[in-house]
Amino acid sequence: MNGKWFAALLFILLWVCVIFSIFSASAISAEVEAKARAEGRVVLYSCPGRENVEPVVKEFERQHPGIKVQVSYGKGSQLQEKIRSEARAGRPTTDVHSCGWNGLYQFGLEGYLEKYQSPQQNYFDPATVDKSGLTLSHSAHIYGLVINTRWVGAEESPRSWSELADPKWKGKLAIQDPRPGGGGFSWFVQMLTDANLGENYLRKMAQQKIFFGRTNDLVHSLLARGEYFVHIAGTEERATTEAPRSAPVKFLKPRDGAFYTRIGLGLVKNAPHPNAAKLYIDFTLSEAGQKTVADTGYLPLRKGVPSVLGPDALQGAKLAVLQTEEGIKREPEFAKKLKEIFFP
Amino acid sequence: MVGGLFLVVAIIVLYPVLMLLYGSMRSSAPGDAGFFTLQNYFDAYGDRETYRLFLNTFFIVGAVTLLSAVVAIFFAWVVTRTDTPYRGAITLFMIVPFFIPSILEVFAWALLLSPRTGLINVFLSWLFDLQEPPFNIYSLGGLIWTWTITSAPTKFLLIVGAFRAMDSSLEEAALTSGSSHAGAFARITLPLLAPAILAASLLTFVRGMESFELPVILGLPAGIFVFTNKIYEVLEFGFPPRYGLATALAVTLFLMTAMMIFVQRRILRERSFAIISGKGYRPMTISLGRWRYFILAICAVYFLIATVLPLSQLVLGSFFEVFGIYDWQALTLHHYRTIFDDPLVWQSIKNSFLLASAAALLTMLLSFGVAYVVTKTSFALRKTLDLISWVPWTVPGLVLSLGMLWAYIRLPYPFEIYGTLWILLIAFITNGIPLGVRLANGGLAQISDELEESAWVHGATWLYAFRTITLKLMAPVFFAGTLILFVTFMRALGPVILLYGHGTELLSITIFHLWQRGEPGTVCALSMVLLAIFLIALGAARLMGATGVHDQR
Repeated sequence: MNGKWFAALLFILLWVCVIFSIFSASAISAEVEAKARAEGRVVLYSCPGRENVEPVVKEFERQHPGIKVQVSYGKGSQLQEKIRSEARAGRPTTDVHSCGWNGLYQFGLEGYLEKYQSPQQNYFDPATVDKSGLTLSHSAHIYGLVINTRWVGAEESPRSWSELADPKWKGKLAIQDPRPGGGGFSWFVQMLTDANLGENYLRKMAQQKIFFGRTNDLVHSLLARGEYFVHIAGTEERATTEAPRSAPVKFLKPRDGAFYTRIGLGLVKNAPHPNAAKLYIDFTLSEAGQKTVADTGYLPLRKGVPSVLGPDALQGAKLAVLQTEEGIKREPEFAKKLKEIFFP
Repeated sequence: MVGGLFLVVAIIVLYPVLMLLYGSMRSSAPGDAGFFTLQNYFDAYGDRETYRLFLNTFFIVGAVTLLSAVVAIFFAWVVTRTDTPYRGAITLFMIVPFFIPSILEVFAWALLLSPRTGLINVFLSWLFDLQEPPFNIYSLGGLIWTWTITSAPTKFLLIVGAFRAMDSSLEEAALTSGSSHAGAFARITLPLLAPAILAASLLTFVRGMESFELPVILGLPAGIFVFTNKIYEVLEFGFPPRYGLATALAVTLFLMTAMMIFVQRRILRERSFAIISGKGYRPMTISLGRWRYFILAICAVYFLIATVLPLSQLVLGSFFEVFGIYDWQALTLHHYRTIFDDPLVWQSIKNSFLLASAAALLTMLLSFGVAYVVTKTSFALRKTLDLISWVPWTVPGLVLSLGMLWAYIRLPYPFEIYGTLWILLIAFITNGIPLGVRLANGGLAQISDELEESAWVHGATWLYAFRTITLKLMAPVFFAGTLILFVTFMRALGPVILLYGHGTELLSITIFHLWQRGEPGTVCALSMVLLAIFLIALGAARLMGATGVHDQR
């Protein structure tokens, strides 16, 4: 057999493989779809609010008639305690849990999530994919500086995290309370592990009389009405797409590094509707699902899906240290440092 | 029958609390593999900070209890015993804040007194040309002020009935014997109303001890820590939440409450406070002469500050795009449209009304049973029953919610109530029993035993005497109690936060989620709608004579 024949045979074989895999994949998805229809519903426990989840649910239900999504909203700690109690009592009712990546991943490590690798993840940047399969990230928050433009003019706007240590900002800064985790704690860890900023910078910041608000939204609302001048670690979508026209706020990416955190989905162990759950997860990660996610103001993580925050929204932003394996391992050490520096 | 009542109350109250105690003595949650340990107790009470926080709490909550008592007694006296004009309006202004979710009131105050942009600060700074804002909500003063203002209406509601029911012939006798109005008030009115005032103060104190919202919202940013901050920290600051430690800490609340009950009994023992007796009485109002306008002026200033200002802030908030930015171009009806278009809001309102009404009625029935057994019978376990009825308030709402989740999620068929409205109904009843029993106790303690006894002497059966005398006399207290419980359940969040599910969302939970996702404008609009509904209900209740605040002679 000469080379030409060999190449032709190889080509045909390759095509057979491709066609076979397409058919088997669609056979699998058809099987999942049929089982999901028989299950009839998905129960989702969600940390993200209704404005971000409901459009996705509506689109899913439109594309998969016969499968209803029942969502309960709440704080991660409370929703997770419900899932734990359901599991302990042998009465699981939840299929999918959606929350910030750290909490979700740790919840998975506790043994309450089933590993699942969605085929849709092939279209995501590998850096954002959880190799363990415990979580499936679908969108991101970008953290930076949000300023009140009534108080802070373009000339005096801070351009970096380091500038905030200047005494002129004393009493004018606000951040989400870092003690319960969330954006405030992510910022603390980001600064602590930054080679140029580190502990010295944070100790200077501890002298700045920073206001610690209970939630990011509360801090944002205080900033918008002018109680504070700069929101440290505010999110871009809150300051741009979700802010009303009359809110005098502006998002700035600090020169010394904006960072982002992921929001993920997890398949709950012993989910009563596993196929419908997988279908919902796949849909959220699909192109159609990610477009809907983008429309709600969140930054979709799937490659090629445009974001209202712009095509380069993630450019220059680093994944939060706290959202890496290393960061999770060192979390107790970071929490201790936080107490030592800001809450002695 | 009494034994059955004891059993029902004991099961409802103690089962979830025992689950919590069990959880606090294990290395893991009930149901998980683990072992018996006292580590949670060592962690809780081996920490010096716990004791410092405890003293702080005692001081702050004590101050709030005292100040709110002064406010409540003053207004109860004004509307029931004086001829101050517009007493009906004064009563209405006093109780309107009771119908506003407290988280909103706190937020309204945070807006009014925030240092840089608070309307009061801005106005005073402009008026007196001040360089520094005169007030700061995030301070000890700010915390005590807001706490006092927000707890005064509840306390007023708890004692106003007793003020009104008091036989004024006793005061009259003092006045005829040459006593001054002030003397009669100090020597007759106050001591006679001591049980109601003490019970209300005790309730305020215990509720204050377990209150989360205010210390967290205003205390944490100011670095002011009270006992509940510690529990909050344990529950919210860390992964996973340490519920065992939180329960171990909550034992302090239980001990504190037991101590308070002991103190109350020591003070009130061997004293009769029956003021509705077999003798007829007529209410008397004190003629204040020209002073009545002065008293009216004091009331007006208080309401302007305590009710009108925060309410106006909320009304404003419901009509502007951004809460706190009052630009004419930002005027909007968007927040109202949002709630009217949202099916979840209406589902929540429906669930809340249904559950709060049923739970208020059932709780009050159960509470009257308990109070009657405690105050009017010689049932051997009556003191234990009284103590049990306090227990739900010794555990912070969120922790109690966990106890109920652990307790009821395992019930076998056909009692699978998890995820249904039934579990919420039981949660409300459990949470409402302490208040219900206190309200019923306050009413029953004022009815002299001689009324029922005279009926028995004349051949009436116990049931007939109870039905025609005690029940009839207690009807206004019963309806007032039901209304207070109804509103309390409509606002309750902590006790149900872990128990609701899809389709069983409640209004308080929906408000909380709207709040969490940063939509204070929508929350304000929703409160305005709620307030309108409450006021209509209140008007209906007044027409039926249920609130005990209708009769301004």
